[in-house]
Amino acid sequence: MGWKAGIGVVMRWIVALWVSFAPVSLLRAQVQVLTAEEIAQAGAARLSDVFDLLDGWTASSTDGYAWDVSAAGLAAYEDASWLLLVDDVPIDLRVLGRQNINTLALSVTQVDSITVISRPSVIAGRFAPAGVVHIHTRRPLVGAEIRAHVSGGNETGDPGPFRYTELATPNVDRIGPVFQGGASAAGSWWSLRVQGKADEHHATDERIRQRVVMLYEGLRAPRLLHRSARADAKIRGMGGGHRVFGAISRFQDLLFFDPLGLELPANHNQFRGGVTGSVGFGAPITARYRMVAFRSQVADRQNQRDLSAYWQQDGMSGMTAVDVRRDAWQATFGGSADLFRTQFIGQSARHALRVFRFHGNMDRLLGRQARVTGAFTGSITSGALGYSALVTLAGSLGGGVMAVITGTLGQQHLEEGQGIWYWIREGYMPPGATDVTMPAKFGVSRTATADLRLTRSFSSTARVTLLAAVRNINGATLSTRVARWDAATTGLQTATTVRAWVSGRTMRFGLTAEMQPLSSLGFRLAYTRLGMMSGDMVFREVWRRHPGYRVGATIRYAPDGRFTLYGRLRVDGSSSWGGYLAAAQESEGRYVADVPAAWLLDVTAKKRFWRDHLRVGVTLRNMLNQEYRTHPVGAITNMALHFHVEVFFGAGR
Amino acid sequence: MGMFFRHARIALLLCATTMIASASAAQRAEPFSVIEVRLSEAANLHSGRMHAYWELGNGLELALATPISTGFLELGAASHRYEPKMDRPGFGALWLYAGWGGRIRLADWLGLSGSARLGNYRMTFDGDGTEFEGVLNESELARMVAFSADLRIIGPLSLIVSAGHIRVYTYQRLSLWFALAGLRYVLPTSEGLKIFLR
Repeated sequence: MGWKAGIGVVMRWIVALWVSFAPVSLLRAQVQVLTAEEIAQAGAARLSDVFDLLDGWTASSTDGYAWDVSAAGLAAYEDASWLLLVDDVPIDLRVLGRQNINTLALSVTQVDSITVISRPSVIAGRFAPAGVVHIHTRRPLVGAEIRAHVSGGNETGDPGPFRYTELATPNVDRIGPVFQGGASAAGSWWSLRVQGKADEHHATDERIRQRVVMLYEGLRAPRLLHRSARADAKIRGMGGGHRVFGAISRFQDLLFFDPLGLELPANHNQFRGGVTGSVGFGAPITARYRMVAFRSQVADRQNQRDLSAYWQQDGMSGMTAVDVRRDAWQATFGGSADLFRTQFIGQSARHALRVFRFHGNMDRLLGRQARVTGAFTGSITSGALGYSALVTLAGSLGGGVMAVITGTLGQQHLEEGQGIWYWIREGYMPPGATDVTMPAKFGVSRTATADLRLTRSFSSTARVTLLAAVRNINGATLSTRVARWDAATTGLQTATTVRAWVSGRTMRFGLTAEMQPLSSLGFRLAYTRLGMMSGDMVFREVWRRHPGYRVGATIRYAPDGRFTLYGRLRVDGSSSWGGYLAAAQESEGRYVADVPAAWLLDVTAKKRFWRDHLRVGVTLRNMLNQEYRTHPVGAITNMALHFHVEVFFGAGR
Repeated sequence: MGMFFRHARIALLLCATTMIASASAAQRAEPFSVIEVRLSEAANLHSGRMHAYWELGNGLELALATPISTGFLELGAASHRYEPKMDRPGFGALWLYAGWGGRIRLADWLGLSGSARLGNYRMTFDGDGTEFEGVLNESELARMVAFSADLRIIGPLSLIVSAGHIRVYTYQRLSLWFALAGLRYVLPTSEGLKIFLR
């Protein structure tokens, strides 16, 4: 077939896309949406529990609380560059190369839904090259409501009475408890919400405990503690709405810091406050605005060697955009400015960074039932130019088959990403980072991706989705390390080498089948395969740290809406961490270089009582009692029993 | 292979419970229509590996059960006591559980029931003031499978005899076999409690 014939086939296919198509279904076909009810039925107590429910997202953690996440092979764990949005406001939780969603000042019970995009996208005026988690919070209903939730867990494997015998084994501490609560009051044109969260996690697994106690100082067993509060007020008027919000959180962390090879006690304090809203100018035109001030601070936490990882960033962010909506099309144009001032140990002067962005997108219905979307962003970060472009075509191929094809191009400088390697380049020298080799020159990260999604609906009760995607990454900055077991400190001696201009290509293949044969019974099966098509040595080493596949099988049974049974079997493929090979050999089995595949079965039963005021549940996690680990030097978790109690008074459920 | 047989055994016990629950569905009472109160004395018949260090324990169990659309739901609490054989602390255990099961009425005066229970086995050691000071309690996930027979004595009062096996998921698993005997009393659920349960 010649190239002209090939173009002809492609054109015919594109034309076929624009026939008999339901736009609303299209939107759903491109994202994964988790509703509050599904999250509750699954027994999620922390926001990070949501990652277990996602197709293709992989996660790694040393302590089971701070999770490094990668969106379906879009970026390496160390990038932590997936974009987090809460009610359309971007939230950057990153600290020392980690973005821990559990430090967000938002409780899981206040979530209305979570929209997850597993491909590059343009959203909230930004290019998000590594996936998006968009949390929509509950809207207060008219009247007053109060909601409180407590949960906790107990992992199996305690010594029990054998602690007093020669069969004694180390103790395994509890999980949590997590206390979450909120209240709201609302009228027809206003609403007010407050909420708070207190969470704790114990770092007592034997794989990490011996490292943790080398620096941890405290009266009680090593713990991670999170406290946060959040409030917002909203009014409607001027053809739109306006919201004032503020959130504060304090996380007493035991951060596993690779260059140090130990868990570094540090406090992560955050404040965020601002105003956001929209104003209508007649029916087709709406102006949106957002102004946010924030502080993110890594402060000292008491430790035995008085190590300080001090880092503080203050910032202001402003955005404005105009939406124009017509019957057949809608368009958005806008711009934003982010100003950062950063102070850190090793540098007395404040580091200033300015990011200016402009963006636009156009969404057009073609005929009555087809759709094309185009979007672009441009950015200037201290003189460095970044850009992105996205095109999505969607339509029906007939026979109940819908197709969505998306292509993206993007370029981002190290300055805009503001990852850990950027700050080290700028002079930040965290403790123990002496054996870090930096490149002479950093690259410009360029990504090009293509996604094809085909969805076949058999009726309103069954659907199959097929996904194929290719990601081409050039100029990335990634690190490799060689870790050795240090018997003296019970930690690791690591030599980290940061590499620039790393390039490679990955692919993703996914198959999802959903079926709801009865209103009370639903099944979902999702298979995702992540593979490497090509890449240099560094790229290959970094990407082998991600499990090659994930299978998730979910069954939901809700006979009367008041009792629910939720079961999920998840199979995560193995991963390989070559840099830890020496540590694995020297630590006599404590650490591994290859993290084995895991079969994880979680079952949650929940029952509502007392006219829905009370909801009680239990979750059995890892019922097959696999020795589950996600990091070569991380904790192993076994079967655990969790309980959940939620009390609610108010207008909704 | 060992893991396969372990899971197969659990599956078989659950199947047995499910069959009883399914059979009982045919004879079902209105959901939450009655509350069944059971008070039993428990005798520990065998305690597996633990038997080398502690005497067989006895205890007392109080349970509440109510019918649902398939079988019944139960909540229970049992106290067990273990005395040491050697120089080790004795300990008391509190077994708190929630369960699901079914009951088949064989005759007007005779019923058989089976249930699967899941809960927490909390052990409190007698270390206070002794050489065994420190953290003196421990909680662990446990499951139990129990089968019972009840013989009606008079009206709502029955004699109940049960046998059950508790598995406590400590690192070295505890395997505890119990025989129980006691009384069962069935009373109608108040309207307020029905509303709460529904």
